[in-house]
Amino acid sequence: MDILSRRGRERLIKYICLLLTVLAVVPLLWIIGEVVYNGVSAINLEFLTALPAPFGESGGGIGNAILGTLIINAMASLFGIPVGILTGMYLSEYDRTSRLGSAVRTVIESLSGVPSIIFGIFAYSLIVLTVRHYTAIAAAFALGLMMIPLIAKATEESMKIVSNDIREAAIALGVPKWVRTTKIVFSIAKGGILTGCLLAFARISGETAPLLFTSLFSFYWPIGIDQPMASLQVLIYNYAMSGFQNWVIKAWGASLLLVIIVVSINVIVRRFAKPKYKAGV
Amino acid sequence: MLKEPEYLTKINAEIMEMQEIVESIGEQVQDALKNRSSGLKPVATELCREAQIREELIVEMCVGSLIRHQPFASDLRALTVAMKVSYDLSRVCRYLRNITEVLEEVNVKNCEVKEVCELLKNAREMVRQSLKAYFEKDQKAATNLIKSDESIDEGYRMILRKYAVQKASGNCILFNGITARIVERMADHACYISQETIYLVTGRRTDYR
Amino acid sequence: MTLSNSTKLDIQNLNAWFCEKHALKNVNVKIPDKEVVAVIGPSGCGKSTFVRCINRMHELIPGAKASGKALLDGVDVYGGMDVMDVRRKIGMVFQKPNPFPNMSVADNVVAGLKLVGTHSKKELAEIAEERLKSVGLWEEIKDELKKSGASLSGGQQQRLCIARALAMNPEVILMDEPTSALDPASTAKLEELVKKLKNEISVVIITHNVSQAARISDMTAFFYLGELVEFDETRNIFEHPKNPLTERYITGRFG
Repeated sequence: MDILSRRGRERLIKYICLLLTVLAVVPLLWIIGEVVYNGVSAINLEFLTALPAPFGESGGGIGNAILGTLIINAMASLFGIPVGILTGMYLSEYDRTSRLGSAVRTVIESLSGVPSIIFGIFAYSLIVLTVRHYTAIAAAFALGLMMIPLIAKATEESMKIVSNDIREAAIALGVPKWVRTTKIVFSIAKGGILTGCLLAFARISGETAPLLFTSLFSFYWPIGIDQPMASLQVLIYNYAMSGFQNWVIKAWGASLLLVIIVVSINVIVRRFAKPKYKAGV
Repeated sequence: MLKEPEYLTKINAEIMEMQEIVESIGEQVQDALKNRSSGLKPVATELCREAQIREELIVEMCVGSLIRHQPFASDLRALTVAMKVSYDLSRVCRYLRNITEVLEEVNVKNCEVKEVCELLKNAREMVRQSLKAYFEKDQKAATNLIKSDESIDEGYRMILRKYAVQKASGNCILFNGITARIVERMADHACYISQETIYLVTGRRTDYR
Repeated sequence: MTLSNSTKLDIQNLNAWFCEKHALKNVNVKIPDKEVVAVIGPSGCGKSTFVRCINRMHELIPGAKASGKALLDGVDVYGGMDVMDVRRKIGMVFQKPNPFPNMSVADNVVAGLKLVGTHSKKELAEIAEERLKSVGLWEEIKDELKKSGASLSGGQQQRLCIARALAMNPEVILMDEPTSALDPASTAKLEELVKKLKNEISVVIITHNVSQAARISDMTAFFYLGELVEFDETRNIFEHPKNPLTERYITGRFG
């Protein structure tokens, strides 16, 4: 009687876990499914390379938005990744215990919880109002700021995990601290740091609110980074709620494209940055 | 000094058994000498064999303890000293047996035995004292014992001098000379036991020559 | 008291603290050249602290302090030379083998040189081969030089770490219980290596295995509660130690 209930309990818990997992995964698969199903019909060469057609006209494409997203994301990464990594490096290797370190850590942790729209407003008041026009630089700035906490945390954690034995070995060889930090600890932690960067990239690829305050939108090819720029996120926002069937379909296509871009970057970067040796082997 | 480990206590118990055998033979030889009687040889041989077996056992126990415990410092010295002491005791046994052999082969009915009896008594006492000093790890007593070897040597030389010039019969000269020599060697081994005792306590060896 | 060789490391009035705790008390000892000195003593007696003061790794611990002198060929390690130089001249091998997992075996051996970047590729390859040979690893892994340093067995990793330390051409090598994590066969190989090493440099080896000290060292230093209790030729320590504490420790009566 006892054994039955124990085994029964084991099974019950197992099935509950399974059920909840399914509950978590199914919506994700559903979303992807919907995006693919609805968006695939919009994808063609014109879609990918042409500018938007005039109002009401059919045809046209989202080429400028694709380019715009890539440019803005690249700029944001150029800003966010180095700052994030160096911050994480500092927290892990140079300052684990002092009050300054704790303060920095607290700020970073809080920042990662700040709604993206705040970053947008911040960049708006700092840059857009100053130069008195919408600009992609502000967008890159806002998105870059959003990347920093994620990357810093990932860097700090990945580097902290590196065993202290390794550091001792480097110290005992008379290797200066900065060399040890970059060429050894960082090198070992590369995998985790890369994951953090890719996650941060994925996050900013999905943020629309900051873009609305900074790069806004454009129906033309990007002419300069100090000008407003089209982006997939804003395009999806605009087109999806427009009511034009044409545009709605394009919004689905853009969504699909965005997913594809993020996934591809993930795969490509991972392929190129494969670690020389698997951990522990 | 440190408390004695158990394996050492067991080994020393065996040494004590050996000592008892030596005492037993010694007493019987002392009597035979006084009474100038022969016929003790088979008994002595048998007891000696027993002592020999004990010595082999002690060596084996020591080697076993060396392997198992890998001792250092005083523990190590105690084991090496125990092996040497058991060897010295077996030699003492052997010498006592030699005396019975002399009594067997040589007719000593009319010989003077007073001096060699005295010498034997002193030598046996020395062996007893050296073992006491060993068991009690008494460095002072051991040192004194080594000094007292001088008196045995003197007694031996006296006997040699006496019988060198005396006009006694050949068998008595032979008997006294050999027996005195045997007893002097016995006393030497008592000295060796004391030297080992000093090494056991201090860890240093001095040149006693 | 010391054997015939001259003094390599003259340690004078060495004291060390962990915050308020006085971990090493007035240690004075002369480490001879080209000999093996074993450092023994019960846990917490200051062996590790002592050794880490020699290559100035003790001071890296937060709240740790050290005072006194350690003269390497007459030059004080505390103040007389750059701390990086100290660590290049005094190498160290740790209890748990710690090869760099992100580098190949060959790169590991020359890591100390490569990271500071002064040698050509060819020179580095030669040094790697020479050092791997001197620790007896060359034959075993010469076909696997490109594999990760962490892919070797425990005993091989430890010898790799020794090769890595030796590649810096140190004058003294410190070993903190190097065989604790190894199996008996690897331990034996490493002990053979240590006995060979003393032809080139001084070795200071911490060991909690008293028999190991007896096997491989020329001099033995016994520490207890932060003090150097006895320092003498190994034969003397193990046959007739002068201090009763030493005797109690090596006969296993405590610690």
